[in-house]
Amino acid sequence: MKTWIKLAFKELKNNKSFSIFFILNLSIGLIGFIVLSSFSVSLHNHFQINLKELLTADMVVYSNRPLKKEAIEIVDQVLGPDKQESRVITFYSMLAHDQHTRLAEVYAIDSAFPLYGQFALENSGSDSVNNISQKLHGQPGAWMTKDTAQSMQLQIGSKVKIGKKEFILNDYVAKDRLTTVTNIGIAPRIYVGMNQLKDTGLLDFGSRIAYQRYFRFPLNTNVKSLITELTETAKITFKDDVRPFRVMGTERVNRNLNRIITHFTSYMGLIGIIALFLAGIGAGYLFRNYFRKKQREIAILMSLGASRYQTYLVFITQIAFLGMLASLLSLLTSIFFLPILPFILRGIIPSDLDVTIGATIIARTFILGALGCLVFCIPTIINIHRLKPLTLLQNGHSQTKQDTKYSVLRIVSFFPAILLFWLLAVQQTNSFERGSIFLGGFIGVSIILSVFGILFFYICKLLSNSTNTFLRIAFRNLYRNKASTFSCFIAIALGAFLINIIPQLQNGLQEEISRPSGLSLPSFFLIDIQPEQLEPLQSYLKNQDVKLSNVSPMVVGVLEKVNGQSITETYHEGNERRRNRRRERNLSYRMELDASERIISGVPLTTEIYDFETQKPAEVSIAQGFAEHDNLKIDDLLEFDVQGITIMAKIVNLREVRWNSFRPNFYILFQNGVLNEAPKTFIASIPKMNSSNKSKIQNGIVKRFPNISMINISELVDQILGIADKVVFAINFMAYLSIFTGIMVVFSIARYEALRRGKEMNLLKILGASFKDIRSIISIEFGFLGFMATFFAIFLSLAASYILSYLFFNKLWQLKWEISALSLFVISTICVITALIGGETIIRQKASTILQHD
Amino acid sequence: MILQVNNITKSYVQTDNKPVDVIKNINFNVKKGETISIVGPSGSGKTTLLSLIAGLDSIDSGSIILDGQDLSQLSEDKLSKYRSQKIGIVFQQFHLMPHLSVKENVRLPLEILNAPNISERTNEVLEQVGLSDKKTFLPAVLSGGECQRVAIARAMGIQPSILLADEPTGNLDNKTAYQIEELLFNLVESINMTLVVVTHNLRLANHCERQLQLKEGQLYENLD
Ligand SMILES: Nc1ncnc2c1ncn2[C@@H]1O[C@H](COP(=O)(O)OP(=O)(O)O)[C@@H](O)[C@H]1O
Ligand SMILES: [Mg+2]
Repeated sequence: MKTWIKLAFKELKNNKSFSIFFILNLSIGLIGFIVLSSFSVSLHNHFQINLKELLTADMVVYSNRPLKKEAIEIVDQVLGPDKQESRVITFYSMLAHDQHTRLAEVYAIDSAFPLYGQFALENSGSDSVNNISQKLHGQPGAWMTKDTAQSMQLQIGSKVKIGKKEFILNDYVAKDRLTTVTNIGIAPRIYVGMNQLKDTGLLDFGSRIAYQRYFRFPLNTNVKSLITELTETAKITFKDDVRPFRVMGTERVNRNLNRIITHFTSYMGLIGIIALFLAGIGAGYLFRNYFRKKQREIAILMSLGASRYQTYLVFITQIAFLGMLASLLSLLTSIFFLPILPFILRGIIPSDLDVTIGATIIARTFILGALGCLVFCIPTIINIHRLKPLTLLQNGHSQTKQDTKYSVLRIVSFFPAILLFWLLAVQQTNSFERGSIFLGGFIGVSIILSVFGILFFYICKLLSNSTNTFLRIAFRNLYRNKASTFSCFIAIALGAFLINIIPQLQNGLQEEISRPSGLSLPSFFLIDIQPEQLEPLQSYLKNQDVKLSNVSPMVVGVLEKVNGQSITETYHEGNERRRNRRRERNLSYRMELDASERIISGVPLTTEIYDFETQKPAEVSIAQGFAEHDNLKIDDLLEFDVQGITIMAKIVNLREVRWNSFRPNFYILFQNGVLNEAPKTFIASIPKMNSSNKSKIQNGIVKRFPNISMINISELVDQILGIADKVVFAINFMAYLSIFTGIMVVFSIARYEALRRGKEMNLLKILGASFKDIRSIISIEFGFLGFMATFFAIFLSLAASYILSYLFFNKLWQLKWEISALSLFVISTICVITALIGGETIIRQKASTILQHD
Repeated sequence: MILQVNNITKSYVQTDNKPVDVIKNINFNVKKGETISIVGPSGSGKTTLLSLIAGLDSIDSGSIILDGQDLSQLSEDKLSKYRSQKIGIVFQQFHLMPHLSVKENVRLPLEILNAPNISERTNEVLEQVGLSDKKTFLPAVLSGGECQRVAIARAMGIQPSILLADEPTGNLDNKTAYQIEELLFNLVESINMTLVVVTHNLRLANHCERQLQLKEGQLYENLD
């Protein structure tokens, strides 16, 4: 055993350049993996540690109307006496100050808020309770962050109007944890005292107010079971009614953000896997040549009595050791890359996030390093199986007997790499399905690229009949050294594919967000228009030469039954689990469909006004997504409770809705006449206009109709685009990393090829070729290789992005030829340069060295 | 009898798929301590025969019994083990491990065997082949004759039951070839080792107690 390990290390020491390149290849591939997992693990931990402070409590009970007495009793009874409680009322409203208005989330708090953490106020101390009772309850004070204040040109002492009441900004909230993390700036928070709320006049309106009760329990309380118990008790007590409140625990905090981040880190992770795979190809290639060189020595060992097992041991030791070294190197290098993702994503992620490489990641890197390169070397190592020491005696006799056992073994030897790849993909995407789809897609792309690779060989073969000697040599080199040419081709093409497909898709994504095809985005989205306000609002806007469009009534109702079956509980139908939940829905009706929606199956709603006298159910139209989610089909009979009145309705069509058009749209649309008399509010939009007009209109509306909330759509879209940009940038960062890995592979291969052909090149020199001639052979060879690989990859990426756009982005696809052209040029150039650098030692060698070798 | 070769045949499938009989029904025995040479023109199958005796390739029929053990009965692993204990091989092209020093090359089979007193044994054989002063050299800086001495030392280190040599002087000039020949026979005779040497060097062949001739795959007792 010791002999073998000693021998293994000795060999590595004597093959320094192999060892170094092997390590470099692999560690570059590992860097992306480390950086990314450190980032997501750190982010996850950050949320985990700060969950309670982010929620400011252990549990929240909330409802959209004040809790009734019996509900409060249940809560008190289940949660027991050992709790602290804080009450908060939140709603969205417009703030007004001078000529400035904006939408904000009003947080009306009692003095116990927050139950965890403290208000960090800029000008007062940190005695929350005292501050709140003095500055918010004792007077109509308001707090917000300095950023929010500045956006409205508010200063300490300024008056800010919410609804009908004026508040005075009397301090800044230094760090508003929640808002910096979740509400990505659409509506910043303003804190006011709960007892000051009444005079705003806003509590009388509609359903958009959340009444929240925050609870904190003694340490070691099992909050999860309390949540379950409370939910169950409520379910039993209020059997048939709409549940009077809902309960959430800390697991709900940042669920959305977590989901988004998990989503895109998993995409980045997949690119990271590709980088790792490229690195694996490079390492596998290097090892293959190293192994070839060693074959004679293995035969000597065997003739001295070494068993195959012992020879396997030598190589596995070497590979595992190199893999470990590569892991170590990549861990050290990663430290420099760690701040990059938080930097790119600043503004989206918590600013105090500290990204570190944890112990598990270190362990995983080492395992991956050792195992990862092993699986890529297995196809080579298995050659020991058929290596015979006889070769030593019989110089020149070829040993390759066609052996079916070996052929099977050879195919099987690629499985570990694919398996590892698949496991990583599943782990990154957290789903067997997505991991497998990715692997499938990747294999598909690889197969297509391989076909292109074979095509490439044919082209080279064709060109190798050129009359020009150097061209002939260059093309012959390409198609004779199939393994190296092929490895290079795949590595370059995969990298180029990534570089090209990402911007191509990004293009579609951006277009879709900023300009849903054929539709122009509205400037504003108006919510909470009371029926009596509708007419004055319209006439005010008319005077301003602005049109109020898409005015849509909104009625709150509860879906009670589907096809006669009550949906208070989930029930099973066939194998499918119904997920309908009994909850309030926003219902509407409209005379004609908006441009952003269209019927995809069924017939249009009748234009007849519904007659309550008939026993016929009313007609409804359901949005496709909603129907899918809740398992509804055309002809299903739905029973609604609309403010105490039971309404039967039949689904007559399903609609596709483009929600990103930011127009008022609804899951459920009724036939005309059904909801017309029900209590309702209106939502509407205001079409695109220039920005100076915009603030004038916004201020005008807020002044006259203080309860109407206005969402500034273009601002929102800018923000979403900003986020999308950052995310795309981060994904690109990973893509460049994998390109870089690809280049490293090209470099290693080019260098090795030059070394291997040293004799041949020296011979050329003896025959009179100059350094320049040799360089041009190398340039032609690798330039052509890079060019063709990139060319094919671009072709494939355009096709793939077209298909993906067709499937996911409403067919929005546009050729971005600049990127393609640029990548073609840059990648070919880089290939030539790396190959020239790689071959330089050989190029410069004196031709006479040929005589010194046997 | 240290070696019994009974009725062995070996054929190779050539590129045109026709099997060619390289060894045809060969029989011969070697007594312990005997030195035997096998001569024959190039391509007559000398190397093939030697590799069969060394267990580096399998026979088609017949049997080879070395020191009482039928080689064809051994699994691959057992065979390598057996080889490491009983057989020393010297090649025409020396085949030293290029990155190991002289001493390390000689130690290697002893380490594979897990033999006792490796250092003493190594020094001893190196002394015998006259390379005590070049222990730390790498093969690349040695002359051909010196390389073959290392190879002989390496083969002798384990004190094999039989030493097989395939054209041991084939890659050396006349004078050096003579020196190697002397060294080889001195060593073999001093410890009464069995030697089978394959060669077309007649002087070397005649140095052996018994000469065999291989012609077109068949073996003849040399009557000249
Ligand atoms: N592995 C092999 N495959 C096919 N033919 C072989 C193989 N090994 C040897 N031969 C053939 O067997 C014959 C004898 O070869 P060899 O034993 O090397 O001869 P010698 O050592 O006497 O020169 C030659 O004709 C050679 O072509
Ligand atoms: Mg021979």
